[in-house]
Amino acid sequence: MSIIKVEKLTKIYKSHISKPGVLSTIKSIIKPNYVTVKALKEISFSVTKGEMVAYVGPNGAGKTTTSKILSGILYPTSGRVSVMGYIPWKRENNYLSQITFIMGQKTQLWWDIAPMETFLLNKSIYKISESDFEKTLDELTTLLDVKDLVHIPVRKLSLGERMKMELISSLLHKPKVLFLDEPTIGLDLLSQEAIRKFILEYNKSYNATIILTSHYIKDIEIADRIILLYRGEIIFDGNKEEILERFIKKRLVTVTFNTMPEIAKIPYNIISREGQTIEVEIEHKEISKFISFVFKSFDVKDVKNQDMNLEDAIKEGFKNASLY
Amino acid sequence: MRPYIKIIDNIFKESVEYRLNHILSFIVIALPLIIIYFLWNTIFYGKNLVGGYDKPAIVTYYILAILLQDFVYPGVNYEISRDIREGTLSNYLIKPINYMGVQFSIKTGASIPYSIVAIVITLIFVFFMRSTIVFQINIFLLLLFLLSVILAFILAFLISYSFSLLFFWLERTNSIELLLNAVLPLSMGMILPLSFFPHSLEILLDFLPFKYLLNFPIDIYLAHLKIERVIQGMGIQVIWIIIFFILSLWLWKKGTKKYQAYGG
Amino acid sequence: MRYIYLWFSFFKISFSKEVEYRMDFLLQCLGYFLWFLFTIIFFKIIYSHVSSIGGWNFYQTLYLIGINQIIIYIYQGLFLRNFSNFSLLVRKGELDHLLLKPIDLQFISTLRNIDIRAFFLLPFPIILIFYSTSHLQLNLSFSSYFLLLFLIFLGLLLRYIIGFFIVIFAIWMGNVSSLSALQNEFLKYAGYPASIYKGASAIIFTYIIPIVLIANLPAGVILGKLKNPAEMVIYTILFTLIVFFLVRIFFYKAIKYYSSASS
Repeated sequence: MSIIKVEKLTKIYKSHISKPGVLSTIKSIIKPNYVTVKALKEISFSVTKGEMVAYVGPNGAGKTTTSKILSGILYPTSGRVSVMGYIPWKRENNYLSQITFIMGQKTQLWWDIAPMETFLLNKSIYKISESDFEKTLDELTTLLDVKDLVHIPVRKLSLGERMKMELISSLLHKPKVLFLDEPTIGLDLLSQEAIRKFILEYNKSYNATIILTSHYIKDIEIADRIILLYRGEIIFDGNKEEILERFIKKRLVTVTFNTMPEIAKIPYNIISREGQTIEVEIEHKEISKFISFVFKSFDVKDVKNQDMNLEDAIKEGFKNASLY
Repeated sequence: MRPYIKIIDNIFKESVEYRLNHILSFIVIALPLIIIYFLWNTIFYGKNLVGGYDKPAIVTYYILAILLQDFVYPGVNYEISRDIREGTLSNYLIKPINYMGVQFSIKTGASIPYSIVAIVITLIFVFFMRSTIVFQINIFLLLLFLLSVILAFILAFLISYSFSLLFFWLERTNSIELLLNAVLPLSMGMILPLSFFPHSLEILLDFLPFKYLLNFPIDIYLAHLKIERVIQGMGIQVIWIIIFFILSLWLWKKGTKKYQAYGG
Repeated sequence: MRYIYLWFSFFKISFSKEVEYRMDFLLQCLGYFLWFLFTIIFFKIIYSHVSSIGGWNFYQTLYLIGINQIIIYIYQGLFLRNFSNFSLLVRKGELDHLLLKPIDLQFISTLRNIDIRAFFLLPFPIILIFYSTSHLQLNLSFSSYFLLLFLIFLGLLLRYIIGFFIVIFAIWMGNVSSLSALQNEFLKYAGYPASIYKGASAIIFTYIIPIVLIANLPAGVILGKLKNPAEMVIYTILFTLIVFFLVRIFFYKAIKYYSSASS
């Protein structure tokens, strides 16, 4: 059952060309000058309950715009969106109480006071009962290992600790749909790891639907499904295996022989040769044919199939898209 | 109501983190009080009445003006301009909470430590200057004064809020700031009681909202107004509150529409 | 020499920044003009009710306001921006950038930002001074103008020290919203005639919180309002010099505190 349905969603930004100065400001209020930018071009997709989807795309591809429309911060130029049956940009309280939007670069925490105060504020905003609050807070702080830090002023926390607090304050009301916008940006490796683990854990134990955007491949890897956005269009939508299949056309296979055959007898593209070892570049679909060929024809000691790399696949995908 | 009360609480806690700041604001309030007292003391040398005020009335006027200034001066709200410009407004848009309520709570919360400092200073000042201060012992007048101050506080908030919402359309803050700073100090009665001005100007100011922020409540305290004038004035306060309330709702609606269209 | 050259490059940068926004420039000039105007209106109205404030007539007070405003504008032009940015500098850790530069820290942190608008407004108080001079029938020799300039410079230096002293608190406190308010209070009330203070308050506001010494000293010397002008001038020079070095020491202590407290 799909919890998010997006049909032909289009977002066109009209941005002002504003010149400095009051006179031109007044002019632009009366007769604005616009440039239009198509941020999203008729994209459609749907997400089932409990699924974790990663939006991937270069800066300006429309990832954040999509999340902002789905969370009600922006309204679209055209298209239909339904999240849990609500139309997001109507911003009904019932809807807002069931979602959250976590931005890695903008904080909702109160800078000079303890994170606990922000938690308590959110407790009353979302009308969380005392017992639920205690229970959820305990679970979340335990999961993120920040139990002792909730009473320390935010400004004294490290960036990683702050992000953990940000997550807690955004999840106290147990939202069913989470929008995470670059949640690990600028964090050290250990904090990144902890946050990833936590997101995955949260996804599993609460059966929460998560839409995640990130530029870090490790964040993307935890998602069930990847949507590649390029210049406002979806160029790929599927899981990790599918993306590899689709975009990794050629792979490197390393073959080590016991007795070195004549190179000319191998009708494939050999990239390098070193002693008894050669590297061969091969079309994805011909790999099994190649392997059976070398084993049949030669005295082979070892065949190594290079790992398929998600990062390369994604890069390849964008490179292909940029050609059109 | 709960979340708004929690915001007041948070703002208060935040300001307690900077206690020294309040000591500084102690000087900021006390220094002009003292200097203005000396100035008027000298102006009244050998005179009983200046501009219809006697010395205790004018000294009391300025004490109240300086104490109330912070509550009732509708300056530009930089918090709002920052929320709009930097997109932190989205933090509120994704929550089931009312932004005007949030800002009103912030303003109220920020006023608490200031009021504490102000009250302490007043007590000290009143102790030393008791011979040249008007003590209003009429409870009825005091209640009316208090009510008009509360109305002035709400009005000031709504004026400041409405003007600050203009940042949905404007990129730089200084033109609005300038406009407010050019009009407010004189027309509120911060620089001089308005009865010092030429009569024609006074009449014009009766119809504008600014007088009702400062000069009007103080005149109630000083018993300078007949009861009909007090009621009339409060009526005008309420009318301006309604006007700016509707204006701010309209600006918010238009502004968020633009914000939702152009992105945060 | 290097520092003069450096200051001129600060000036050039500030100037080219301003030229970008011409209309805003005019508006802000107007903004700076407002308080000057309000002070004149204030005293104009007061003097329509009384003929003298503590022995100062209207034109003498105008003269004082003019002197004070010259000091305010030069102060705004040279220093105020640096001072109001200071707590921000500390809070956002931008002070670190300045600490890295091989230049005197006090120089770069208090003279970096120049607000050229204030200089454009200088003609107005000068006109006010000439206007009131013509009503006061003052016959000033060339040397007394020279003395006036020196005393204005002294007042400015004193103003700088007071402002800097206030700012150093920022380093300990971080968030000092009252700071700029306090700055403004000092600026505003320095233009009131010194004779409003009597007894203990006269001593306090002359020698301890020397609001009186900033603008009343130049105006008072020229208008003959002081009982013992020579002693006052000497006191001001000594006070300014001693406090300047104390504040400088205080500043470096504060910086040391800052760099050991921050991470």
